[in-house]
Amino acid sequence: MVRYFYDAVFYEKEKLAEMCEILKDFGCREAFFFLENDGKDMKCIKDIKNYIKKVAKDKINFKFGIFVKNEKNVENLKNLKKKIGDSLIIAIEVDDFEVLRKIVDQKAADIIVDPQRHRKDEGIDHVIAKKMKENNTGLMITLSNLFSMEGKRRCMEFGKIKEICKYYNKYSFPLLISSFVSDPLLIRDPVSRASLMRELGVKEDKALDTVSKNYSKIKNNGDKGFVVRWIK
Amino acid sequence: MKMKSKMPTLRDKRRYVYFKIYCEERIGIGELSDAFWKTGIEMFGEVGFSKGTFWIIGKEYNEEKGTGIIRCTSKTLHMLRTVLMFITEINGKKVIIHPCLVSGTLKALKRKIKEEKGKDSIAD
Repeated sequence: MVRYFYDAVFYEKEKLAEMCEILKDFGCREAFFFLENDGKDMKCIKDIKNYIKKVAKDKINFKFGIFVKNEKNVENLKNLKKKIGDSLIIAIEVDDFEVLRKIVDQKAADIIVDPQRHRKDEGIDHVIAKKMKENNTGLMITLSNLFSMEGKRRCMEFGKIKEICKYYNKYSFPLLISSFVSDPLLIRDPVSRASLMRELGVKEDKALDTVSKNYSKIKNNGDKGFVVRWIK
Repeated sequence: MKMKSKMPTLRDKRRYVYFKIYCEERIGIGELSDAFWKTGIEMFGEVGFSKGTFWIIGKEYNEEKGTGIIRCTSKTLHMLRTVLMFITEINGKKVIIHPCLVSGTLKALKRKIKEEKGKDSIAD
């Protein structure tokens, strides 16, 4: 079986060429480029697409996404989703558990970023895990978050991620691990990222899915597999 | 009297990992090993990291190209990859340490490196 590896990074125009080369060296077939939710970036998406096609050529495929931080109104998110259409992916970071629950219930975002990061309500529970599996909503753990911490804080963060891994082993919602950085020298290769997930308690066979198969599940509504029809 | 070697059943299976450093400046083997052990002990603790029996092979390290080989056991391969991933800086220089190839013997690893260089997938 051939695996295609993925990564998610922040879009930065000046470092784009270097970024693409490193991603290619690491064997990433496809990359998600995320933009911050500014009006300026949103308007020039077409220009950026053309620019990336020139720079990246055949090196890697790419998809675009928008990263939203702390949007508490779910309807604003839904409007944003209607505006940008199906081709773009919305990733959101929320610090409130109730808002997170609403977002997952109503499928207002495609990816949830680092829910374990905030102290108020840490991580997810089994209800959200089940719902994420039904709606194909991804949960992204980012290395940029882990790199920014040291000592005690990083240790606590690993503990929270371990709990998420337990839910993933049981409910197998699309869990992703990505670099999510704007600096090319902080991008890490997919096999190492999968190794981290193994060390944190993900089962052997499911760990590689966090850098490959689960990314493709998000927009394609999952692998439906075979449908068996009863012959009467 | 010469010390007897370990019985084959008591030996751990070894793995050799070929890595490449992405950095704008040269990095010496001393700097690399300091950063490696520091990060490893921070992440897994002294007892946890001792299980790996890690060794950076000095003969194989090429400072110009930034390539080298680390030895570990088959059970601690993921631990090694995780530690290499978390080395972000060495003496203030930003680095990526990318584990490219893995093999069970040094001879096979060197053969693999030659083959991959032929394909140009590992750039010098």
